[in-house]
Amino acid sequence: MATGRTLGRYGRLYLNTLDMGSYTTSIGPFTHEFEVIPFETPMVDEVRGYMLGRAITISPGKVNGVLHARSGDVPMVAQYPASTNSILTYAVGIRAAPAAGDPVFCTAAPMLNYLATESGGAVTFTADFADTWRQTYVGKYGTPWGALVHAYAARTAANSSAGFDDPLASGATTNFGGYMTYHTFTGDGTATITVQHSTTTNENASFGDLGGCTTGELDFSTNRTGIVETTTATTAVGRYLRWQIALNSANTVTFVLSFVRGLRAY
Amino acid sequence: MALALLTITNSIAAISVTNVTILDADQIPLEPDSRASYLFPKPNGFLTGFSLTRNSQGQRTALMTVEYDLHYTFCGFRIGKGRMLEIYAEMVTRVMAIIDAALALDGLTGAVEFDPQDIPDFGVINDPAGNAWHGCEITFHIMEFVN
Repeated sequence: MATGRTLGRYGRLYLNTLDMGSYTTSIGPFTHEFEVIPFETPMVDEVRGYMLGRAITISPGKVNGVLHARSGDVPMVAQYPASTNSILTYAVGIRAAPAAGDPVFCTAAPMLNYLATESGGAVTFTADFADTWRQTYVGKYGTPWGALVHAYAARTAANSSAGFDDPLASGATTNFGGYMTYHTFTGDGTATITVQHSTTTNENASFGDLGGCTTGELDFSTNRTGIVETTTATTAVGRYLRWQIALNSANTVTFVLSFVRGLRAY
Repeated sequence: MALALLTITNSIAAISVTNVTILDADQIPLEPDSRASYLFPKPNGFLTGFSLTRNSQGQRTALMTVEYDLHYTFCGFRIGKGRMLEIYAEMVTRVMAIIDAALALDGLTGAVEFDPQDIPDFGVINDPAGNAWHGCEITFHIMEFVN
């Protein structure tokens, strides 16, 4: 986990069960706006007051990319209908490929449209995502920004390593729950992927399951994606986070896992 | 944070290329040993295209992005009797080895971006003493984050 500025080429987009990193040319503007409500202001007041409303607009915006020549690969993007939410995770690597602890933008938003165009020999596409969001998450957590818990990699055993100190926790346990997003890309059997946390130290023995944040037992021979929230919107979340996998019949699962921490009650 | 130009030239000098010795800014030879191939900072016109973009408010502590080009001279084979065009292909091979090594880097200490950008001069190159070599000039584009 590094800090500081970075370049666009270190970003990675995961859309449902697709690793779009090699196909995305731009994405944005990552809208995260709060409704602004003006106070009634007498004429003689020199300043006018505003407060944040409950309505929050969150959207990844527009995704631009290029299609792979292999049929059945990225053109599958077009198959995501506007009537269902797409799970989208954009990991921001800090001057390197994304690693655990790096910032992520996570959301579940329906794809509004999809346009593929022939462009000088390549076929490019544009897809807009809605600025609405699952109302449960908007109401409870109010933010799409979190931390990457597990960067794209295959795992063949449970995690007994330390995690990372989530910078969004500011060095303390938070009590506003949160949610995880996950994307799997290859797998060969059943397993359970979980976010674990620690309120005390960043040591293996200190970590335990974060209530609610688990995929449950799934067959990962089919690629999966999802968004799962903590047990309640007031679940305590320790400052240290890490990934965990319980392999049942699976020998290997390749996945990306993120966690968005609630930072205040909404 | 200061500019990392000397760190970058040091990092470039540390790149490993078979049959090529890469030199730092404080190692530029007046007359390179004719039995070897060298890549070293071009003394005349080493740094060009300097630009600075401010990315935040502030004075000394403002976030800034600095970009520039570094020009290197590659002296492949000293031209002389028995060393005319018969060694040209090997010179080309060594130039490509330099480019390949640069492209293979995941990063370069001191720079945010490091790319071979141009080979503006290819053929007969003069070393600082004026001797003729089969070689070329290679331009590297550098981006640095300041602060």
